[in-house]
Amino acid sequence: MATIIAFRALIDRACREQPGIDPDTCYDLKLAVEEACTNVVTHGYAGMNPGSIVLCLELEPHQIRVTLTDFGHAFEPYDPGLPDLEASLDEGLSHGFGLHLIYQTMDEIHYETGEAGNHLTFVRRLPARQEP
Amino acid sequence: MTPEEEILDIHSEQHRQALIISLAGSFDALTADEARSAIGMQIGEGRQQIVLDLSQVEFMSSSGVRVLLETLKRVRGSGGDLHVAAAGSSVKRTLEISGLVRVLKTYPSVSEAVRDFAA
Repeated sequence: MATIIAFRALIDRACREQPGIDPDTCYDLKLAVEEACTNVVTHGYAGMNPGSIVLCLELEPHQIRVTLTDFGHAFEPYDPGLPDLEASLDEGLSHGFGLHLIYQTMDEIHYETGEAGNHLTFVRRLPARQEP
Repeated sequence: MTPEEEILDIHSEQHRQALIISLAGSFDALTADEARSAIGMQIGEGRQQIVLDLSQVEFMSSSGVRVLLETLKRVRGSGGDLHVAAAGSSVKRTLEISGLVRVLKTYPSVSEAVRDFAA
């Protein structure tokens, strides 16, 4: 779990160094990475020795691309939708809530799995910048 | 503080009929159990009117949202309530994206959250 905190610190630093990334975008990236990593730790590596999570952060002029690679059980992400929170008060919050937050905050989500691990990629597009 | 040392500071203070619980730090997968335990202990001691001061929380994930929902269920089940106060812009974002703002009462300040228990 300490890895997740290090990832958040890395995203913070990258957002500070790259012009045009507003605080909400930075926060959403940290939230999506936190939720994805928590899922990997809780479900991907369930019943296994804890393995690595590799973060690749690509800052492009019009978007930010984050790829998380793990070597645990594959899990195709999906958007479970916003749970009925009133019902959740009685029944408990359903699984997949973290995934819903990722889908709410990112513009594209891709998933691939193979011998080189499971790769979850999400993209957040940046607003067009005015040319001076 | 290194990343591995991240903590959530939890402080509580009785103010009239409300218990103010103040959190400071990150309210996430790493710290949610600590918050759950501290808040649960207060509810177990009979405190049912709780103001959660989030003014010093800089990050909240779905793990924090789960703790808020569980707290809300427990206090409302015994006739009390949970008022969430002073969330900064970042935490507000989690509250909004998660839809939590629709099921709990939020206030811009702790004093307003406390005052509403007296109303």
